[in-house]
Amino acid sequence: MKRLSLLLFALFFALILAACGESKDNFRETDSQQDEATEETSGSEQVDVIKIGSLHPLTGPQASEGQEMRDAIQLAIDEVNENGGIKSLGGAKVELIDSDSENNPEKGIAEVQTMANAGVVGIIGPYTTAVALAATQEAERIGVPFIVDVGSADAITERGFKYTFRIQPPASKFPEAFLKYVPQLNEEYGVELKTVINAHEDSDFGTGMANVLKENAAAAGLEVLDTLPHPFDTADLSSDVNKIKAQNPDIVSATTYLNDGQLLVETLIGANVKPKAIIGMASGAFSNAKFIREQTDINQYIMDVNYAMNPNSELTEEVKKKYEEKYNKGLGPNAAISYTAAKVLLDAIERAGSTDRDKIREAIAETRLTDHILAQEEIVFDETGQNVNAQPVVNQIIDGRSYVVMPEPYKERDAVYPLP
Amino acid sequence: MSLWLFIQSLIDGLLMGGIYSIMAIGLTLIFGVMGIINFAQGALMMLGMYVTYWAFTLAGIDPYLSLPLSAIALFILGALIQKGVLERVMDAPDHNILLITFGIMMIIENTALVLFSPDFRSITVPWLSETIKMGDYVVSKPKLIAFFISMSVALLLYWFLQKSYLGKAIRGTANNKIGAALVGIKSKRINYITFGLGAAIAAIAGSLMTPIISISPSIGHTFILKTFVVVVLGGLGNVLGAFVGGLIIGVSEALAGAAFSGTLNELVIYVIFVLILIFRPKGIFGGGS
Repeated sequence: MKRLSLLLFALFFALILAACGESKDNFRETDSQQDEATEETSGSEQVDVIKIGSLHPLTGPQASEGQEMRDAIQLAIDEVNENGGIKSLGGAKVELIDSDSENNPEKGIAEVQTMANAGVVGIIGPYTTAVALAATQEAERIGVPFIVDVGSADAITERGFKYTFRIQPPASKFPEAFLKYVPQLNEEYGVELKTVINAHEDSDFGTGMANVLKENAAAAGLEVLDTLPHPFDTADLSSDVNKIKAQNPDIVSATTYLNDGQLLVETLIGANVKPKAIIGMASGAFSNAKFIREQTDINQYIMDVNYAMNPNSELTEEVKKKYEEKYNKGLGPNAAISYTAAKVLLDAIERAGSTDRDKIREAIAETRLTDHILAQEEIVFDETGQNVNAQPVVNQIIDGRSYVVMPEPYKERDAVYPLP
Repeated sequence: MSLWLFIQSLIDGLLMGGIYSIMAIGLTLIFGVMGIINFAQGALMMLGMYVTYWAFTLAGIDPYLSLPLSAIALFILGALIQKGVLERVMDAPDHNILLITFGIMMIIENTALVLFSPDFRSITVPWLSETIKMGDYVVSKPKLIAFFISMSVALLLYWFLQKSYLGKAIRGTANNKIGAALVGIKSKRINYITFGLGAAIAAIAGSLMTPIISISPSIGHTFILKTFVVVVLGGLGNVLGAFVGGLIIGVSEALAGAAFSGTLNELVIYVIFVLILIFRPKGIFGGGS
């Protein structure tokens, strides 16, 4: 036992040493790299390759979403390259520098440094709030534009950072949208679903939304009976489901990642619990392309208040088709956001006509993108870097497909509400 | 907490506890005989899950029919790991072996990541999807089956260790390696069999869980820490202790979940863990088999 603790101490010590050495090296490299970058950009803009970075979880429990998002960025880049590259830079080709955040903030910081050293002009990522907070801070320090595709905490764009932009709506918009749309659904379909139990994963992502929901429910005429947090990698949700069964709410709402969301629904069905509606808020399961397509035994009529693609646009259909052909998997809303983030960055590079990070930052800040695939008005950033028109809509899974059921003008078909 | 919630949680906890039990039995067996804390146990469980998953998806084999398949496959892999890697370091200090099993875990998981992709996968078995209703109470079929198979495997293993020649040889090696060697027990072979058995038991736990949860290469993490808690609770190396420990953890988790929240139930488990380490470091049933 003594020897074991001695060894662990030695290991710990070695890790600290290694970490120090590494970061020192990194700083040195960063400096020299910056010199190089200045040299490169100070002369005439003759560039062959423009590098942009992707920071997503490519291994670990979040990997399947992360890979889908990375693939969507690659698709956007391929489209530009196939159409003659960045024209304002003499048709320079764009290259994706791929990195794995492992959904770990420290790793995210290290990867931002590495990519900055590799000369990326902008980074897109990272899918989770924890990594977003850390990675954007590092990008801010180095001065690389960082477009947060998915990363929900309001705080991400509330720290006065210059180089941070975000495509998805901030977390608080989801419960707000829930509280706006549920009464509208009640009115439109002539029912009174009033009581809610909210099951959520227990990191900032789920807890933040749960708090907003609880605080504002009464004002919207709804009552939150109970709030049930769980760790996202849980193997068992029967105690939560038992509590739902005991209190019998009209609506079960949920903020989850993929596997816990699926487990929740399976456990509800297994326990024979039949709420009148199951409505996710930014659910990683109920808006997941694979869950929607494959879990048809359990997912019928589940709703999700989430960002979505604009279903009534031809461009969306086109991009979806290309993505499916190329990667043999469906384009989900998260990947659609990443695709849009890449479009924003590529558009900014084109307008900047430069690989200078500051010029590109300026160009991103001046973005006015109307030709996009999301269910929102034009993409414009406010002074905090938030895509101001970003909004969640109500999606519903019907027969293995997700449809936007509210609001106009994105609505595709009527909702099935309440559950039959 | 209402009576209904209490009893329903008790049922769910007991059933889940069966899975923890069998995971812990695999781990504690390897420790009891060889003194190895096998970090890779969760990864081996994950491989068992994939055997069942692929057998079901590709060949339509019912998950319970593929159970022997996954157990045998992992028995062989376990024996090979023992022969190829661990045997060479059996005399090394314990913490070295611990780190090696950690390495084996990383290798297995990352190989699985490459081969199977990180996607969450799940199977839907039609005849398992209906739940059993007893008045107001519901029992999930796959969990009930998992519970009974776990119990049977535990009893079978107990009988095997107590009564069979090989089992006695294994216990003999666990008690006194040199003494066992003196009476003609080939300790190397016993080690292959023990590690193989441990791996096979992990595979059985994995196969039993496959119809219940979504699987992915990193799924072992969800179980391995809890398994350590159960093993410590039951006493390192104590097979029966591991079995009872699993049930205790399953039930306390479910009751804590019902009384507090899904986040706090993990907390309760680790509080139990620390309390045991402080007051009963040899587990509530003492160590040894």
